[in-house]
Amino acid sequence: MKRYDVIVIGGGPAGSFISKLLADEGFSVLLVEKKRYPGENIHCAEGLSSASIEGILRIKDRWVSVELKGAEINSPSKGFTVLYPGVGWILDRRIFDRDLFLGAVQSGSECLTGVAATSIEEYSDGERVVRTTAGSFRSPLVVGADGVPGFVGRETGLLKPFNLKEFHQTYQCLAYTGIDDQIAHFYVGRSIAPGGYAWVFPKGDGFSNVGIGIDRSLTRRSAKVYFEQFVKNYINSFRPISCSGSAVPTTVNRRLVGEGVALVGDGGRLTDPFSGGGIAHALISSYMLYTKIKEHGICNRALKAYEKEWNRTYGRNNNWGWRAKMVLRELDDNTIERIVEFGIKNYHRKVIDEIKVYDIIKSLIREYPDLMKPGLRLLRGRYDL
Amino acid sequence: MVSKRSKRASEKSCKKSLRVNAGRCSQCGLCIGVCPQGIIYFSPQIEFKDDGEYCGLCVMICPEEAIEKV
Repeated sequence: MKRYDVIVIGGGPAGSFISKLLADEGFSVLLVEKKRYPGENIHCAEGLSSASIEGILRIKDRWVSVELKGAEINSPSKGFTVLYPGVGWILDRRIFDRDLFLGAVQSGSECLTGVAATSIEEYSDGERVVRTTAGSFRSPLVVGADGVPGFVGRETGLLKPFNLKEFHQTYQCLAYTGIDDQIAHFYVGRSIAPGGYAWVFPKGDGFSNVGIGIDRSLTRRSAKVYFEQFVKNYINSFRPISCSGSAVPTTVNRRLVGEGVALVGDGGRLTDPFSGGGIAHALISSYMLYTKIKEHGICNRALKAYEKEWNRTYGRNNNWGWRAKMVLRELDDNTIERIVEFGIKNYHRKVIDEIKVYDIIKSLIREYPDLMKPGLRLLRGRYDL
Repeated sequence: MVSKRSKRASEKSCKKSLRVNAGRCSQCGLCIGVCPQGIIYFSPQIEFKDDGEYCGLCVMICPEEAIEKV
């Protein structure tokens, strides 16, 4: 049975990035990817903010579909636009994922494509055995970068099954809409997307990434049903090219490591629970794990240090995101209309260079004193998983 | 709450009572994430381990309605 220093399960951004970083350090790395072609079959809105990955990865021009200049927030009946030049990008994940995967191989990682991990065995003699559809391998460290299924986390007992409140079900299409701006359009409201939002993100030349994410604990209908309703009501011209349903983890997970196993990215359910954004978290968690391994070597001490630092930094932010998500899912359409009216009055067509969440909430409560309750819950409420 | 239909299905294992429509499956793996028994895996298509008892959660949650009762 062949042995590697590290076996990485999943060749998305998280898995490819950590494989590259560790291979650059001279570790022997095996990267296992279920897809035959890395980068195909992407389930993602493709938005990435520039501030989030500063100092971790330089975004190449060829990865970018459109550079964003701002965002438009819509309630069911109206909307406002905030301009925020340099806020981020809509990526082309097909090229982005493929390039990161190739980068891992270029740095010395071995890879298997079209191969799935079918079981991760118990930690014994300082190693784990990974069984795949292309044979078995052993290693002192298995990295779970396997996205929504979280198979590595499930197999090793780090992740419990999702409950309905811990993820958003999604449905999305690459489509021709004729919308050719540099604005990320969001649509919020229980009647549009219960507990979530719909998005129309520019892909250039009149194409858009159109999608929806909903909280299935609030409705019996699927994301696809809401998606079709959204497109009918809000998009004038819609010619879909490829569509797919999927999910986004929108929870807080604090257990990222066990003996001989570490979870990164969506595979550790590390996303912003409020926005559902996961690309930055994937890259940051991989980078953080890499720095700890670089410091301590491949050992359980390094893994513990990774978990501790994540929970101290981004994990805390995610607690806030979880609260924001739980407050949003309770707001009715009437309240969302009023919040958007507030946005129209105070922010429409204004240029900003920072989002001051506390200030926004404070002035919102000043305008609508009845929002004090959800506002306070947002600032310091507790929501158990 | 178990409906009559799922009660009948529960007499069978997941492996015998469920079939994945490969043409519909987007391979998102949400079924693996929600499965209370942890018996779903990629190989590289979706497969069920032998010992699962039918509960219906994966059928209900699949965003592509790709998991069908046989």
